[in-house]
Amino acid sequence: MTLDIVQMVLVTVLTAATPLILAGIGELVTERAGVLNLGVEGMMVLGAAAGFAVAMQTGSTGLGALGGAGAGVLLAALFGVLTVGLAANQVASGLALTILGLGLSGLVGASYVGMKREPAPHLALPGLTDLPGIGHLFFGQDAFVYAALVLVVAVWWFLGRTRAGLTLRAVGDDHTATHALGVKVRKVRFLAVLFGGACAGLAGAYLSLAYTPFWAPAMTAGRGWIALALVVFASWRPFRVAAGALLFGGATVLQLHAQAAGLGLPGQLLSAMPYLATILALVLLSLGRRRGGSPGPAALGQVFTPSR
Amino acid sequence: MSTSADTTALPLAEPHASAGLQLRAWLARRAEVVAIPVGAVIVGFLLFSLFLLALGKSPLAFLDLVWRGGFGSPFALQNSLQRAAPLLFAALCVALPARLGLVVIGGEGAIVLGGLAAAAAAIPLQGAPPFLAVPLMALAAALAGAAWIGGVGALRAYRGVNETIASLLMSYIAIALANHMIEAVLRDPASLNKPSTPPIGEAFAVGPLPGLDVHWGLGIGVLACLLAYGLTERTTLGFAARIAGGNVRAAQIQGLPVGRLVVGFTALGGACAALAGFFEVTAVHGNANASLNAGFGYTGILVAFLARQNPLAILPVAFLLGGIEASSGLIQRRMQLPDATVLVLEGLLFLVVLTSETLYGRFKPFNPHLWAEKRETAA
Repeated sequence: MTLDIVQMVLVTVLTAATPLILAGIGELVTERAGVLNLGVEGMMVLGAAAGFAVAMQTGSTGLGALGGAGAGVLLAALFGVLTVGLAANQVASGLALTILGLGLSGLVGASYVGMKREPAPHLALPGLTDLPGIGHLFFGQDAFVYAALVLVVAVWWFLGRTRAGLTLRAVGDDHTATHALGVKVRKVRFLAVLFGGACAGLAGAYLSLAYTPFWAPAMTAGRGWIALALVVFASWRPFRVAAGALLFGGATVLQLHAQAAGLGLPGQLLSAMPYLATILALVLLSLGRRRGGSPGPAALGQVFTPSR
Repeated sequence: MSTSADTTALPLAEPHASAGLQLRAWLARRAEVVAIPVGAVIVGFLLFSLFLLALGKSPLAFLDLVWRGGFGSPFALQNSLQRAAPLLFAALCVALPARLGLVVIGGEGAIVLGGLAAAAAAIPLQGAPPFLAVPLMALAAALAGAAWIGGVGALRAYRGVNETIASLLMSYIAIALANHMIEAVLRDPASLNKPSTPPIGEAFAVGPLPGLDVHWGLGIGVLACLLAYGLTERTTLGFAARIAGGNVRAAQIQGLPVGRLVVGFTALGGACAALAGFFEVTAVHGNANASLNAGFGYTGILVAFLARQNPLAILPVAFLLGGIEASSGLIQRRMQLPDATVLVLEGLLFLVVLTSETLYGRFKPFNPHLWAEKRETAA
């Protein structure tokens, strides 16, 4: 019995963490290539709206997820053209992307407000899923959750174990030297930005197709910003992003359960918990950091214009 | 930026350059600073027109409604100015820290807390003479905002926490905190449908500017922008902030108190944003309620960036965006467009203006040092 309750809590932690893992791992790749895209929230919210719209039109959750990721890629492409192509300011462009994404999502989603869908189907393996205590946690999740976990491993392997990953990290650490070696710095960065957009869009689609299967304006509620903080918190390492996301998922769940258990803490204050936890994590991280600068990519946020 | 460095490279330094040519060169360089942003805004509107056409709506009808809703009549103008007032304060919350190279985007939190602090201060001050109580309420608001955004600055200066992310997360916390205070702790039992704090009362209400139907927030907001311009451009403090924003190491070697500058400028920005909340409570709503969280802080970010973080340029930009936002209700009703449409326009404008910033120095008519090439090739 208690085992089931523990499992239930862990399942909620995992589902609350999934959008953060997805968006965080995408932003991690973008930042490892040296591009700081603060527009995660915008790409995520557009992904949520577009994903829901596509799923309602086609009736397919899979196509909806693709639509969400595609919408994220489109916004990211705009960001890439501006910051990588035209060398515009990355921080400001990211903010602009957030505003644009919020606006576009409002338009895309306007006719879907108030509609509901069946949530994305959960895996059901006869025998395994019904295992007491662990079955649902490991064998009863939806495809997004597994995709997020696979993505973490894949990105870890790509960045650390492949030549292309090495090139990407080199671009993020020293674009001038990498350029001198003949690497197409801007192409690598543009692709990394697109990957980040796809992940953020997918994270948004998860929210509107699985987590809460409806569309509501600004439903991402700052998760894009938490994902950004998570990448810093994780020192730009994939597995730490996943671990951090689970921690923040935990903060969200704690809030839900504390409310249900009637701990006497008012709901409005509890709703601030994930944001508070994020800031505390950033502060704690700074306490533990040795002097000598951040462990982030050395060329993060710097524009590259090849000399002609 | 036109520095002395580019003047020396000009043909104008040649002894035979006429006074007329020098004047034309000076005008050309000044004109670039105006022409590029204005051109960008026009391109932004053109892009948005394409977007409207794609939606099957008429861009001309849209412009007509923006004109009528925001600028075309005395009533519309006053409405726009009323909306521009909080934008002035919110934009200063971005522009002042920007002097130090910081990107603070959490002004919304300071606005909400400022409004709440003003309304809360009004409760024990009931019965006090207004000339004493209203400034105290403004002070309470300013202190709340200064502490909130100054806290973000302190986290940045002493703990290296990214101020952009931290300020935005802090504004979510501020909104939750304010909602809790409004809905529970300070709630007026008489406010049933729309939870709010007790009314501040007629005596403490801030009235309109003489001869206008726009509240004093506009006057104080304009004054704040002028003072901010003076601070950043005409004082050693503003100069020190610019050095620290340009090169932290150089500033430290000069012995400038970088940490205190960061905290000071962010706190000042927070105090400004909080005043927007103060005026919303004392001149518009009469109490603190959920309408405080109306997105002025986010539009203020846009205003500051469109104004290129220049406190004087904030004035016309805030007026323009105030007008666009004032007409959004009319646009929604007449054109059946969701309110997010204005966000799309704002996002497009933002992106186009950012792109335009990469164009400085590329157009021949604006750049006297390019004129020489023409003469050389002609010769």
